[in-house]
Amino acid sequence: MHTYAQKPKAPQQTTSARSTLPGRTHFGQSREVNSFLHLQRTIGNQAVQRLLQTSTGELGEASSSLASPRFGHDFSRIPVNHSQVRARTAPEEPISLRSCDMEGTEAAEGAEDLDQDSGVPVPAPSPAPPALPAPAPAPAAALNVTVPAHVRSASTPTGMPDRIPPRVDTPATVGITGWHLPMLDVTISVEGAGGGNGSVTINGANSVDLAASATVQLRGVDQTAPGNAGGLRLVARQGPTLLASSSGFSVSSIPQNFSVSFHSQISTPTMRGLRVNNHWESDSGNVADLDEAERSEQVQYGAATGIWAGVVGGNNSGYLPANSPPLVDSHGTPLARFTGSGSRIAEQTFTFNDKRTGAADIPATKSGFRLTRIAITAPFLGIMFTVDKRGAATSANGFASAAGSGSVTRTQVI
Amino acid sequence: MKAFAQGIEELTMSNGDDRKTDQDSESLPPYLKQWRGLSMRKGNEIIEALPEDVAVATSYPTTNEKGEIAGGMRLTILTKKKHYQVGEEIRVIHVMEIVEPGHELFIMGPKPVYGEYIDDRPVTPPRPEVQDYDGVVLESPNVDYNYDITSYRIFEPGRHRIYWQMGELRSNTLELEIVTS
Repeated sequence: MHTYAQKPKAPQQTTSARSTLPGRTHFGQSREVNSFLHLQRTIGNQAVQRLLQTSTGELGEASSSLASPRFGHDFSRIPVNHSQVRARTAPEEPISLRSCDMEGTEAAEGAEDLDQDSGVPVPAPSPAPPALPAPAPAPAAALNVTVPAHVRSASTPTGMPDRIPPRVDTPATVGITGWHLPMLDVTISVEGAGGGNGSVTINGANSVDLAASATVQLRGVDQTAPGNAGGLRLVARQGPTLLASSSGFSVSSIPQNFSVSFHSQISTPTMRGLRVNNHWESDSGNVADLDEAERSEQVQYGAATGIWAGVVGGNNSGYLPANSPPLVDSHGTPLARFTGSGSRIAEQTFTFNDKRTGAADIPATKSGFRLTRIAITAPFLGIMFTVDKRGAATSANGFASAAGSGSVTRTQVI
Repeated sequence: MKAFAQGIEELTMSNGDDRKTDQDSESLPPYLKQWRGLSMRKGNEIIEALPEDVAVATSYPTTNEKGEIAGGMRLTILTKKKHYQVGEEIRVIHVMEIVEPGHELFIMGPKPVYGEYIDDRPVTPPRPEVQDYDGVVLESPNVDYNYDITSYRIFEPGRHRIYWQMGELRSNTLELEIVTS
């Protein structure tokens, strides 16, 4: 009689939601396979593998129908003693192989027995029965699991900490190689949720179980509270064993995709010009999510001629709440300036602060505009004053951005 | 003899803050509870203001030393303290508040400070007649901190007065005591 003394593993099946993997085989078809699965999840892979490798007898035929490339093993090649498996499918708790009757079975030569409590090798009883040749195990690569080192949506500008927006999906590729039965599935989850760190679903659930590489969809639910940046991590575990982890990330929405539309003309006793509505979006799709974001305008003066010659420098607006668009931009020129012809170009971009991630002075995506003033002296008419504002890839005060959208042009006679 | 030197220099403060406050921050109007930040110019760059200046500016909502309201508007200047050593840097923060609706507040900047006076002598240029504007405007009531921070050193001991005037709108007058160490 053999004594197996391996410490039983804690149950490893999680309560997480399971993904639906196309082509995945379900084990409900076979009582025998269910038995293996139960054993494997109860007492661990190593014990089951050992059992499979050292058993002989009548299950060989019964299990031959399980040969399938999807399992990674050809079960028809693994001799299993039916009665022994049944003995383990209805154990009296707790399950311990020390109490199992392994009479008539042999351990594979060279296998090491461990004491249940100390984990130290236990001398094999003597005399050892003659070892039967073990079947050659199917070649299996080591399990290798990867998750993205940085969890950040494509809408995250350079210079921001890792983040994803709420409400919309952010894909994350999980790499899995070397997985095979009877391994546990790899569970992908986001750790650190709650407590102001924010929360995220994966394919709509708290976690997903995978056995092969896949792209999962991360969706922010609760945004990270200010002061809690980077408290979330995308992790891959097999049972309690951590296999891979991302760096910390946050859930926050940010302003992007600025645009302009006509608001009104400026025509006061002292000024002429144009007012435009300045709109923007949230990368979550809902600007109300921008309640911890602020936006600022950057304006820098470029080429100037004639009546605007010598006007240089730039301005900014300070930071304003980003959750209540639109704001109105005014582009006015005093009547006193219109003494002749001239032109001036001003570049405009937008920056934002995000209190949730702690990011500051980040150039907003697609927020570039070019403002052109042109004054032309027209015989018999006076001065034709045109203001044109349109999206343009540009930079202002050192902040560059791709073109915003929209254009507004108005001409006034002075 | 008086000597003034305007310009942004490294700030060194040695005395305590003696600004007075009397308003409960809970009773402030919403626009005074929003802080948009404070910028300053360094060469051709616009950079974040020094923390000491930010601290002075953020005291504005609750200070009891504000300019008189005229036409729904008021100008206010603030310094960290009222007592300075001879030659010590005095940094002046500028705030424009419009307390009634129906006006536009032009908050782009930092805007040059025109019409500042020390002991009734102009220490900044008068406001030019022609000024273009590009950028966001806010509807009143609202407040604008986006002006240059002016910097002075006074070398004559005694009491000195600073105020800021734009057209007929005049700020509060700061009375500073300059003392020898």
